[in-house]
This record gives sequence, structure tokens and C-alpha cells, in this order.
Amino acid sequence: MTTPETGNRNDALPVVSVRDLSITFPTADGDVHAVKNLSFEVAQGGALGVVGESGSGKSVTSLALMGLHRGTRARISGEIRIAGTDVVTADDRTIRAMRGNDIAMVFQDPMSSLHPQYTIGNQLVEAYLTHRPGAGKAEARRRAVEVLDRVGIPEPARRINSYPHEFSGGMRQRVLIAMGLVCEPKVLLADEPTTALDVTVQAQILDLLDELRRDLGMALILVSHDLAVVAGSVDEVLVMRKGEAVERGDVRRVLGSPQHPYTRQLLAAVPRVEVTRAQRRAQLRAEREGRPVPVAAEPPRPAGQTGEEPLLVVRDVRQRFRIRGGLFGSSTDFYAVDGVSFDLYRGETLGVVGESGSGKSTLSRMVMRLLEPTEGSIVFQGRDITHLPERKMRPLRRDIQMVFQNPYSSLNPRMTVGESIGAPLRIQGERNSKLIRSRVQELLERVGLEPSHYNRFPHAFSGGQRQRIAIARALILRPKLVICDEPVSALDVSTQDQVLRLLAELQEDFDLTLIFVAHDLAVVRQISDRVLVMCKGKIVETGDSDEVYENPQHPYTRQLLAAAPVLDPDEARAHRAERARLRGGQPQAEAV
Amino acid sequence: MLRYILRRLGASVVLLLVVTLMTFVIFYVVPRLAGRTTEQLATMYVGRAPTEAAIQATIQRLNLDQPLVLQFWEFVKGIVVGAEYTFGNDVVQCSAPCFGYSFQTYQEVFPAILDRLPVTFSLGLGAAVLWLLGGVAVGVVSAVKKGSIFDRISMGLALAAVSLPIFFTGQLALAFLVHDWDLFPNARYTPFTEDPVAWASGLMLPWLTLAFLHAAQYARQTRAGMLETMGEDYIRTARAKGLKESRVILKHALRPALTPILTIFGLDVGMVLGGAVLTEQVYSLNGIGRYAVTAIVQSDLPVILGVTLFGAFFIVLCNLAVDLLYPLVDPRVRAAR
Repeated sequence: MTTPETGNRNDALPVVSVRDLSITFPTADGDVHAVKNLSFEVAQGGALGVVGESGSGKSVTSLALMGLHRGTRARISGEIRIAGTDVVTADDRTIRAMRGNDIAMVFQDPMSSLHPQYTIGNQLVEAYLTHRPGAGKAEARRRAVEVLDRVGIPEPARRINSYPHEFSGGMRQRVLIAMGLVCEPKVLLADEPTTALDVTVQAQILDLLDELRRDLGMALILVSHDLAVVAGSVDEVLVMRKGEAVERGDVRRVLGSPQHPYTRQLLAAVPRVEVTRAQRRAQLRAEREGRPVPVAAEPPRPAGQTGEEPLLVVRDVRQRFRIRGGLFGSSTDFYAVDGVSFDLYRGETLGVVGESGSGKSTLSRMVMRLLEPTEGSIVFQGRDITHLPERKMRPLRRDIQMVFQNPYSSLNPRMTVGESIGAPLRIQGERNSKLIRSRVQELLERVGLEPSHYNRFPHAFSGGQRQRIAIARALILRPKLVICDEPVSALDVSTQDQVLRLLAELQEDFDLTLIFVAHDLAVVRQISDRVLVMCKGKIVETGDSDEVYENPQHPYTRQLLAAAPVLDPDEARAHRAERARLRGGQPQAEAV
Repeated sequence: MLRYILRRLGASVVLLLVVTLMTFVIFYVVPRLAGRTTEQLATMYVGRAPTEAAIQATIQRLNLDQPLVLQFWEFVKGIVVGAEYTFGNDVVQCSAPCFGYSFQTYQEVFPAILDRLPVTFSLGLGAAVLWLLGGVAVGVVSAVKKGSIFDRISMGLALAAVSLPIFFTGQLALAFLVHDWDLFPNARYTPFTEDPVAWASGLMLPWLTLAFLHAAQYARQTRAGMLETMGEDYIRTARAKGLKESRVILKHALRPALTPILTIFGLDVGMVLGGAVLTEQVYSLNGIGRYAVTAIVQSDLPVILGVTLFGAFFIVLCNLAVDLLYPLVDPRVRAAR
């Protein structure tokens, strides 16, 4: 049953076998073929990575494996066998007995996948008792504590009584994995399990999945849009595009010598930590002018060394938040940003890196003056704006604009994109509607959309297109400084690459100064001249971006670098070992 | 937690004071703004045979000749500590909470309300149980079987029920259920302590009528809430665990859908306890609502004021109860506080 090209060492009967699977959704405009003639199998204890961008049919396939297509309008043909159960034809009772017991699923968004009104213990015990009806409550609880401990939840016996909102995103994903493990399934199906998480947390979750798979002999199906995420964790890769498998084979073979052009395209889109800023710039410039990539990279820009006045001077800024306390309401102070200083010169790009909670978003909101710093000073173009009242700040807003993280919620769904992009002009006092319209259309074209999109609403656009719209909105006032707060972290790798290219082009054309905030090191390196590494509100390392990446000084920077996903499966495993070594010195409670 | 309870309690007291002030303004200040003199005001409240002496006595009793602030002060003082009234040479002690005396019957208002309380409570609480259970059940089935015949018929009925006034449905119920088909006895109040069976059978008709109106709203709300929660990620997680669909619906989807229902339930129960005016009127039940109607017809000011404040008291009380229950229902509220 195993195809020869997979080189699968395990000759046992596959626990998952999919044959000629097609999934169709009937719509008013005719049938939509979400999946077409898909076939693959996973051996006992094996690991398969399913990779594709949104719309490739990978999530529909995962749901079908669980039998979760039932009750939807999906029409399914072909064969799915999970540990002996025929998912397509079995009755509902058989499917329920299979779910959680033979195959368990971990979903993308840990923030919304746990029931907010029940304790995690309640939810784990329920999963266990569903498939072990003979077991008592006490036994189920014991098992729940055991799996929570197994996935690295500190103090599981106490934490079992906590509610989901009392855990961080990474911890919630661990709880969901624990819920999957509770009945010792033969297959664990993880659909984008780390997409909503930081790089460091992502690495921890991937390490955990890998470890569990090896220790428990489970098969793993890891679904992701990012080849680099699956590289270190699977034996075999299946690349999907528009519902079809375009390439399938051993992970080393597919990543090392991809056969299909689409796989090559996906590989090229993955941001690589090892590519320097200069190389990337040269490559982009060459592509723009249609020349082949020059071998020699251009010398680094002498940013800030010419004695010119900095555009932005930030000195010792702190931002305090009050946290209201328990019974007697004593409040404690919490500094989200604690003594940060930096200079930013014209035309420069400053990357700000850190995990969630490091204070990087708070910092960008202070520079935008959406927040007033508690202490310190912010000087923009020689003018102190630290405590400027909103009325005086408004004319300056022309020069400082922001692109936000979530392109789905940062555009008003009831305004056409044209109105959204034109709104800043209107707010700044422009009355001539014709002029606004033509400026907006010009800009729409500039960011790679059609001028005729002016009257469409945001829901008609994909995530990448929406982020282009958000960028256009930030640029309409011709700002000097643009702050991008995680502008690509909600996007697929291929879309991410396109948006990054656009930003690089626009920076040149509009002579922009950028602050680029992200948790993804590779992305930051490609776009930044200098990098600030933030941890718990403080800067732990700063310097020229190549220097920081090639010769990191602070242990936290090293930890971040070790967490970055890499494409070479062997290197990925080496990184995993390095992470295990770095973690070795830390108490469990530090894991997020 | 203690802090939260105290804060909510404090807010409730302030709210009651505001309601008192507004009620006071409506009855004492608005007529003056419309140009009524003190004597004319007093005449309104005296009754059918206004003699000069009676008018003067009313002015004294209601402090109509005093500044407004003082009038309000006396009014609130009466509620909190009680008051003394002089009728000619007699001095009558009206103990707290004192809403004064009815102009018509010369009965003290508060004890009169208390007399009628069992009727209104029996009616309101019984109907509330019916409409909550009935409405939520219909809503859940409608949501689960969305688009089915049951869903369409029940939602159509719900729309009709929300739109039809009680004096209409009540009369229909009387005509068909009681007279033509003889399914229920006519509405009659028997104290629960005397004969529980008679209590229940006598109230069945008003219960159904009142519950019908509210159940419709609950069915629609529950259906909408269920449809929303059924699309949540955690429902998918529950299904992926291998749970039975009934458990997915009743444990995982229903609880979040019921959370907002708790809020409106608190409001509705508070409202009904302050007097189910139409139902009591249609079925001639001698509850607080009917007392209020009679008082309004007769311009019996102290009774109107008393009933209004009493109703406001129950709404505030039930809201307070909901606020205190909320953290138990939704643990995230505990954290946000």
C-alpha cells in the first residue's frame, strides 16, 4: 500500500488511509470542488505534513478525517479509513466512538477552542468518560492530571480547576493537546496548531508534538501553511494547491529538490533567518528591474552615521498600567514598557522583536501617541510630543501612520475600501471629493489592487489584499514614519512574502522611515537595518541587524533565534536539540 | 467579591433614589410647570367634594405649600423613617415605608400593597417558570432544527405572540379554553396555604396567557443565541471529542446562549412582580397591577406613587440578583472585575 517514492520505513498497516477523496460544496453558483482526488496514508507512528495556503483544501480534509463534515453541506466521495473505521460510510455512533479515541484533533486557535465557561478539568474529564464510560470520576481526574503533566502544564493538580481564560495562548494549546491525548489515540491531527502563537511558543508546541509522537508511538498529521513549520517534525510532506496534491514525498526530498513549481514557489516565500538585509534588498531590486540577482551584495547603509538629525528620538519611556488587585482592591503597578530608548534616522527601518507581552505593541502605540508615556520623552522631528494634547497632536498625525496586525478587524466592514483609505484625508481637512477619489485610486493601483475596487467592501478581499488596503490607508497622507505592528503575522507565508515585497518597494518610492514590529525573526531581519530585541518591557539587545543575527549576545536573543523555524529538516532537528539544551537549565514553570 | 457585592448594592440604592426623584418630579413638578396653582393641585387630589377645608388639609398633608426640595425631602423621609399625618384633630402614625394614604379609601398604601402581593407573586413567578422553560425549549429545538417545519411554525407563532396584546389573547383564552371547551376553570385566586390544587388550577389560565407573551421573546432570543454559539470553535472541539450531539447542544452550546437570557429574565421577573397590569385586569385578579389601574383611574396619587416605586424596587432587586449571579454563570466576568 505504501507508494515506493515515500521511502517509508514502516511496513505496518497504515492507521490513516485516504483514497481518491473528493469534497464538494454545492453553492448557488455551482459546485465548489474543495478537494479533488486526494490520496495519502500515514503509517502507525508516522508523521505527515500537509502544506498549502488558505483555500488549498487542507482544513476541509482535516475535518473530513474526523468525520466533522457531517451535518454540513459538504458532499464527499472516495474512501477515508482511520484505524479500521470507514469514515465515509460508518454510522454516527461509530464515528463518535472514533473521535477522540482513535484520532484526536488540535485546532488552530487555542483562544477560542476551549469552552470559556467550564474548567479545563471538566472538559478533560468529559473527554475521558465519553470513551471510558466504565471509569469513575476519580479515575478520569487522575488521568486528566497525568496528561496535563505530560504536556508540561506546571502544577497540574491545582491548575486542573482553572478556567481557560486563566491560561496564556501557548498553555491553552497544551491543554488542547492534553485533551487529545487523554484517550491515547492512534493519530493526532494538528491543524495549524501554532499559527496563532509566537515563534518561541510555536517551537515549544512543535517540540512537544514531536516528543509525544515518539514517546507514545502516535501517528501525527501536521497541517500548516508554512513549510518551515513542518520541516523538522514530519517524515513525509504533502503539498496541496486548490484541492489537489501537487507533490508528495519524503520531507528531505521535497524540501531539498522540489519537483513541482508550486512547491518551489512556496519554498521561496518562506522568510529565512540566514538571508541578510543587503542580500534581500539586492534580490528585490534586481527582480524589480528584471535583472538577474547580482552575486555581490551592496554595502550596508550608513544609517545615522552622517551626523544628520534623527527623525525620532525616544528616551527612557515607560508605560505604566494599573492592575486592580484582589479582595481589598489594592492595585499594583505594571510597566509594559520599562525604560526604552532609541534613535531613528530618516529612511531607516527599525525592527522591534519580542514575544507577546514583551511590550512591543505598547511601545508602538506610545510612538503613535495613542498612549501617553508615563515617563520619558518622545521627540519627533525635533518637537517633543510626549505629552502633546490630542488637539495639537492631530496635525502631526499626518506624518506618523500605522498598519495594524489584524487585517480582518482593522477595516470598518461597513465602509467601502475607498472611503476607508480616503478617510484620513477627509479628517485632515480635504474637502474635494474628486481629488480624494483620484488620490485613493492612484494608491490602490500602487499597492497592487484595481482602482475599480474603490466601491467594494472589505469582506470581498482576502487577508493579503486587506493588508494592502491598510497599507494604502497609512500612506494616503504621505507620512514620514510608518509603524507596522505585526503586519504579516496573520497571513500565509506566500501572501506574507508579497506584502513584505510591497513594503520594501513603497519604502523606496515614498522615502519612508519604518518601525517594523514582529515576533518573527526572519521577517524582521529581511526588512530591518537595525533591530531592538525586547523582553518584559526592556531592550535586551540592540544593534545592526546582521550583527544581532550572526552574533547574538544576550541569551534571550539566542533563545529566539533557536526557536525560528528552518527549512532544512536536519538543521531543524539540531535546533530542537539546542532548544532542549537551553530549556534544560530552566524550571518548567517558565515554559509558556 | 465582597467589594463587588457592596459596589452593586450601593449602585442599586442610588438607582432607587433616582427613580424616586423622577417619579416625584412627574407627579409634583410637571403639573406646576403646566401652570397649575397649589390650590388646583390640591383640588385634584381631594376627590369629588372639594371643600375649602379639605383642600387646605391636603396642602398640609402633601406639603404642597413648601419649597420643592423640602417636599421631596419629606417624601423620602416618609419612605425611610415613616411620617405623621394630621386629619383634623387626629394625628395618625404612618410607619416606614410610608407612601401615605389613599385619597379614596383612606387606607395606608403600603399595607394595601402587601395585601395584594401574594396574588401578584403567585401569578408572576408561576408564569416566569412556564415562559422560561417553554421559551428556551422551543428556542433550542428551533435552532437545532433550523429551517424545519417546527422552526417555521414556532417562530411564526412567536412573532404573533409578541405582537398580540394580552387583553386580546386573554379574551380569546377565556372564550375558547374556559367557555367553549371547558378545559380550565375561570381564573380565581386561592391562597396556596389554603388549597394548593385550587391555587394552581385557578391561576393556570393567567399563567398561560402571561407566559405565552414572554415565552415568544425567549424562544426567539434562545434560538438566535444558540445559532451563534453552535458556530463557535469550542463546539467543534466538543464534537471532535466524540460527544453525543445532545450533550454538545445541552452542555456546550446552551450555557453560553443562556447567559444573555439571564439578563432579560431578571428584568422581566422584576417587571411582573411590580404588577402584571393587563393580566390582572383581564382576569380580575386583585393584585398590585389592578390596584395601580384603579388608582390611576381615580387619580389616587399616593397609591400611584407607591405602586410605581414598589415596581421599581423589584426591577432593581432582580437586576441586582442577576449581577450577583453573573460571575457564577460566566467565570470570565470574575476575572474582568
